[in-house]
Amino acid sequence: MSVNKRRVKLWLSVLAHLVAVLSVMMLTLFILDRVNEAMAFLNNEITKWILAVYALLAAILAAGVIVLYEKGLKEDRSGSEDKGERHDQE
Amino acid sequence: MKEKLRPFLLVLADLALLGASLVVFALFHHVLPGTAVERQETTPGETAVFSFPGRFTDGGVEERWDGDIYHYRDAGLDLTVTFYEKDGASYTLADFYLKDLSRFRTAFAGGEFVTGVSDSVLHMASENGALLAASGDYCGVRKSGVVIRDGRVYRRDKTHEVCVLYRDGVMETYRFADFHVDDAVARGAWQAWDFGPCLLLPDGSARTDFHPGIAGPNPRMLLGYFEPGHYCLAAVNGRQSASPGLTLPECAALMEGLGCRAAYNLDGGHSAVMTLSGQIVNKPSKAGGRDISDILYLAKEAGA
Repeated sequence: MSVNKRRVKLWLSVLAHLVAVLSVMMLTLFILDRVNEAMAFLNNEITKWILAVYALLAAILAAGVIVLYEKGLKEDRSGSEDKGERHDQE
Repeated sequence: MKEKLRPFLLVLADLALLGASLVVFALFHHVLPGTAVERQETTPGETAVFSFPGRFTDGGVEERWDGDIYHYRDAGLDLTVTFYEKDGASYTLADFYLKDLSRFRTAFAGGEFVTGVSDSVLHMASENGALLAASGDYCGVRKSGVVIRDGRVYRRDKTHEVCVLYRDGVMETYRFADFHVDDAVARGAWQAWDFGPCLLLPDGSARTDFHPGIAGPNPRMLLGYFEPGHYCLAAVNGRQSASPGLTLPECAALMEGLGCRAAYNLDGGHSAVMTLSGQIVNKPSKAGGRDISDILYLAKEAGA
């Protein structure tokens, strides 16, 4: 695996952990808000910003995973074509 | 071995990060004090003066107890405090007539509106010269929600159902979608609380459609409106073996039964505290109640 690819995978892994943490945090705030609506755990500026960061990170992660997946498919395809050519030559 | 531990350590690290994030959130959401709101817009108009012939004295103060009922009268206030205990419900009811609405005031912990600052109802009452004081809507624990107090607008964004006491003495409660802060300010709001829910329907009948998450039996602080200049406050005792508290439908039925035209639920639970002349006159679920951010009070003297 190239150094670049490894770096991208590492960043995506970090991103995935952040998204996981933020999603559990949002779920916690959602439950707290249901229990004690008066505290406005969801309807406040801080939560709105957390939601925005969460959405942004999730979008970047999704884009990264899609690009990586497409590249993997392309590589798999070209790999199998190479193998096919070699097989024909034999 | 290290490879086997890796997923476990990763989950642990994520949980630690989650815990830290929630702590930071709590710090900024309701622990760290905010900054005082220095420039406030004042709502237009003068506070109303009401006429209730025979209710007020010519200048003196009359104070007496009839068993469990406390009576107070002076030149601008007629107050009756009654202690009820029946059918497993117990509450302290303060019914009052005012000559001048400006005597029905509010105060913040520390003397100015700053989020994250709290104090006891008893101390705030004594600091402000209150005859009767009651816990408010705990506006200082939240970073949003309408706050209009004594005719000054501190915060304009609504978060819940809102109750407005206008300078003409009319009190109205609003469902979330029906409240427009600009209209309330232009009409001359004297006080506005953002907690709720509203307890009565526009025709004065008890509301029944409450969110189940908040409707259960609890200590409550209720504000009721009969007519301009005539209001009541009810401190419902709860979370005690003798008195579990009232559900919101029961609170609505209570306020309907009292004959209120509008009624509103303020912050309850440990916050619900009512004081009279420097004494707590309800049974808070936590001894002395908890420190909160704001109170409603009747000043001992008009204009004091």
